[in-house]
Amino acid sequence: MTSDISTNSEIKHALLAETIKSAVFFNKHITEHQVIAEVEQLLTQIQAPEGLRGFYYVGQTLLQLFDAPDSTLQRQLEISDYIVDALRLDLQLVLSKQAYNQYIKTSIGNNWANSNPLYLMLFCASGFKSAVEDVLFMDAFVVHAINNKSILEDEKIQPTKRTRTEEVCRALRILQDKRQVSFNVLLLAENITNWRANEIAWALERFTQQVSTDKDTVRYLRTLTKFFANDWPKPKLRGKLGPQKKGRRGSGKKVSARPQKVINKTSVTPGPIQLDEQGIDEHDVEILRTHLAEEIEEESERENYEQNSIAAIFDNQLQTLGSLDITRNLRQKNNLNTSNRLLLSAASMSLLTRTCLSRMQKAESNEAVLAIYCMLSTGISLSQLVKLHIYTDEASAENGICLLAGQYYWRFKHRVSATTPAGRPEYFHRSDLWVNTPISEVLTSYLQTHRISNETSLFKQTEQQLRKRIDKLLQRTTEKLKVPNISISMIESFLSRFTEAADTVDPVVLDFSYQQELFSTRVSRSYVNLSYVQRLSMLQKLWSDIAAYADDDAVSECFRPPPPASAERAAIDYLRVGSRFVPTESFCQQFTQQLRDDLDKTVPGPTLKQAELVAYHNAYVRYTAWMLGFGSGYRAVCNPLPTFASHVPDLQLLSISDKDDAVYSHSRIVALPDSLNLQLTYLKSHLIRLAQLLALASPKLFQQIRNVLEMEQKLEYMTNMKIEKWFKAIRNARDNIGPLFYIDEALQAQPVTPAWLKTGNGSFNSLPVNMGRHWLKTSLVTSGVATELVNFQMGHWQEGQSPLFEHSSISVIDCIAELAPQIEQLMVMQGWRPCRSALL
Amino acid sequence: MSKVSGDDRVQRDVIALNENVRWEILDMDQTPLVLDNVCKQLLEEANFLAAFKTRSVQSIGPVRYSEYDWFQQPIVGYYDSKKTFRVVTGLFSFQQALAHKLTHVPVFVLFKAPPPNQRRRAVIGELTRILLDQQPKSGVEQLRDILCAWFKREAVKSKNPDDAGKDLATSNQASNSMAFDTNSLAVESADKKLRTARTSDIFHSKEWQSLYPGIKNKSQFCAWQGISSKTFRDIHNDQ
Repeated sequence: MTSDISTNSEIKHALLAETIKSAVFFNKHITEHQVIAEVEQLLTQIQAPEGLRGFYYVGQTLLQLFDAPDSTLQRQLEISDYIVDALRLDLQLVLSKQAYNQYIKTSIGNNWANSNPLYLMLFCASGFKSAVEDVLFMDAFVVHAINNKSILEDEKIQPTKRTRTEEVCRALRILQDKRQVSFNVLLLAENITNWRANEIAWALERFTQQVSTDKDTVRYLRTLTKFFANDWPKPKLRGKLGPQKKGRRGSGKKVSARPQKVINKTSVTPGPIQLDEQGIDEHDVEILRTHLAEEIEEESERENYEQNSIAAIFDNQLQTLGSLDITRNLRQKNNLNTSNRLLLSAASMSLLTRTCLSRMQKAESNEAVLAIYCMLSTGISLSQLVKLHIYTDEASAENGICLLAGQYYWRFKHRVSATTPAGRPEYFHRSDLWVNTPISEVLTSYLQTHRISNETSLFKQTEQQLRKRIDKLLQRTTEKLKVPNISISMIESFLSRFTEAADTVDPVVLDFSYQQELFSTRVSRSYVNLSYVQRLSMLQKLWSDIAAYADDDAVSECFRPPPPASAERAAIDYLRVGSRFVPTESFCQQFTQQLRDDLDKTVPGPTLKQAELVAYHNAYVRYTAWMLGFGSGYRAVCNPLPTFASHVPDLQLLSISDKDDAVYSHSRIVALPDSLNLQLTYLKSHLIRLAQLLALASPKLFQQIRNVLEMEQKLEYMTNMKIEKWFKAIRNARDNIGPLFYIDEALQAQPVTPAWLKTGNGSFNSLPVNMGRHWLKTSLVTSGVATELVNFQMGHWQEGQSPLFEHSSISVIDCIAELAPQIEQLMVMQGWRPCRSALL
Repeated sequence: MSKVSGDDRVQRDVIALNENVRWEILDMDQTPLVLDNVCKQLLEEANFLAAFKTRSVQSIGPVRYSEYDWFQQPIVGYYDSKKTFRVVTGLFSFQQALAHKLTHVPVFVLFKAPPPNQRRRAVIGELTRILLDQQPKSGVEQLRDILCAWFKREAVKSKNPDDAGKDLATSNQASNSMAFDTNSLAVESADKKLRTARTSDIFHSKEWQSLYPGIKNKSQFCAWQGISSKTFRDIHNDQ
């Protein structure tokens, strides 16, 4: 220990001796004490440790700083020249070997970073960038650190874990390291003329704002900025001192992912902004998350106050989240098609076609092939298929194949989803109880050649036997040709899955024609009404799509039902199946005519009698409300269109929230055809004029209309909570009016209700108010609009398909651009046109 | 009051009305303003607003500044037994008060409800006065000329203050060097400016904006007046 102590003080003694020597050489009158005091002061200023370990490097750094042109260090710290000269001397000659080893030791001393940060910085300086600007930067740093020692060591600004001096020295060490590429003083230099502290602070701040670097560098730059500006915030109280946060919001605060240290990126060459060969800035590609970086605290261990408390069980917010998870689980369960999407490959499809064609034309009957054929062509499952019968009696109440007038039909009972609307059924398309679909030619010839006797089951074998034989047949065929295996369930579900995947034909046609219970048709089956010809042409289209998929024309030839002969088209077109709420075309035309006639009839005279005014307004609203139902597919609800804010005329869209739940999972955005879009803007100016005209007669009404019209602007100043509360109150309200309201005898505004729409349509009374929606769905399906778009408009999506959910990639604008013109065409055909208010 | 009727009793009633009246500022939130039944009946028969050219189509908000209306076309009425204020005349001011969403309106309160025939005479008198006596000639040309005559100077002021200043400065320079009569030159340049003023500048002038804050430009004006913006010509040529 003694030797250690002696070496400890030996360097200092030698340094002092040399200094005194050179001091006396320069100035004979100086006393030894003065020199010693001066050296001691310097050593304290640079925070030299006891024993001056590695002082050689520190001395060299100091010399480098003193020698640099424009350096102010020596002047600022009032260091005499003889000290500088003493530093120039190599102490090797005067030191013992042991002390010399200590003097040139290259490793860092114990706890320097904490207790001797400035010394450590000077010690490490040989590894720094060494351009003139770098030296000047360090020079300014050292001067500032020593001169502002009192500020830097102020008790109030010290963070809990380390001192500010330590922080700034560390920042400089890391930023000025040779290997550091994201920061270079050269970039600052153009903004700095004479390296004053506030100037540097300003330049650093600008640099931080303009140049995007990684978060670590930004953090160090900020530290240095604060240092040079002497602008230290008080550290945030953390942990035990502060109150525990109650809310569990903002999980972003505890980000534990630490950024990679930039200092390790040695491979990248330094420079201002590096562009790769494609001209892309590397930092543009990486997404910067500076907002996260600020909150990162190093070595943050979980203290007991941070751990989950038992109170979490009773936390309301967490409970709400839990209940939302139940909804999520339900959604997942509801989503039947996520896992089952395996489709027969094109080659397998072709193979099955060949197999069926070759075997079915043979003389001997083959029930296994027949079953495969039936499953493929209709999608009926095997267990359903074996229950089917063949019969000739049309009155028979059984599903199966029916021989009618020399033609075999698949015959199924239609599962009715709603009762026929009361009133006048002739306005609506009828729906047959039994649905006939002609059987394909291949099957017809098979049935004819094998003369399967009437009134019997289609298959003689039981389901078990049949299943075994089919499996065997499929296995044999695929093994022989060394092709992938084909299973019965794949054959059964091919048709429905293909329909869903191709999205060109609505799967409802399978539901109607072959009584397939599909998840995807559970809604549309009650909205769509198809004629015999429409149904057949949809099936034709489906099979030609499948043929295109299989790249084999024989597929469609083999399985599709025969197209209806043009001669019999007219005779059979009255056969329809589906919703009984779909109005016929001629009725729609009469109906719109009636509404427009009513509108024209009630146009008020030049005196604008109040009664006339009210009657005209009511007719106008009636027209608009029905038009809204037909054009947008609004459900029959009270107060449709709760606010003009949900209508965006420029984009031709309307957001609808009818039949919705608490989390708005049925809210949708729909396309508005041009005419309806225009009608809604006309409605707005109509209301403005109406309010003006009725203001004196009923100030209250004026105020109400004004509220409706000015809601859009008011919403901008409301918080989300308030908006939601307001929206829930006004949506489908019976007592609160939106833009669509009628005025009763007492001059009170009442929201449009289905009951009001139902009555008072001239000669058409008690019409179902949702017929517009049924009409829209049916028209869109039959006019060949893509199923996805139809569902977009109607809101008939399955979970996971919703166009407004988080991960949806659908473009609403594109959908509208495609849908709106098609709906417009349909609307024009029905006689809907925008009507400007006669009050204007 | 004009002598419409020779009947002495009626005349006496009218004079009594004028004496038993007070000026009051009504709080519209607390005292509802409602049309008098006679008024209401008249309105139900014919909405007088329909007779006017002006109509708001774009916005429901008020178009003009209304604070002078209380003196020029005061609201006159009386309290009924339920302490509701019944408006007899001053319908236009009443409408403005509603449009401006005012809470406090100065009104004339009659101590006693006038008999129905008096009320009818009063309101019909007001409406017909506006409809017949004060109906302006509806020529667009004339309308434009009058507006130009009233607002032109203000319009020029607001049009381009920099330009005007520059013009004046140059003219001043010229007058100094050439020892001209500065006054006449300034007037001349102002005249020139007046001649080149466009009618659309009227609607940008400060004065117009203070009176009709709801009408910001010519197209809004024409829509409001129900006239074509082509007939309301832009270049004004009154020589």
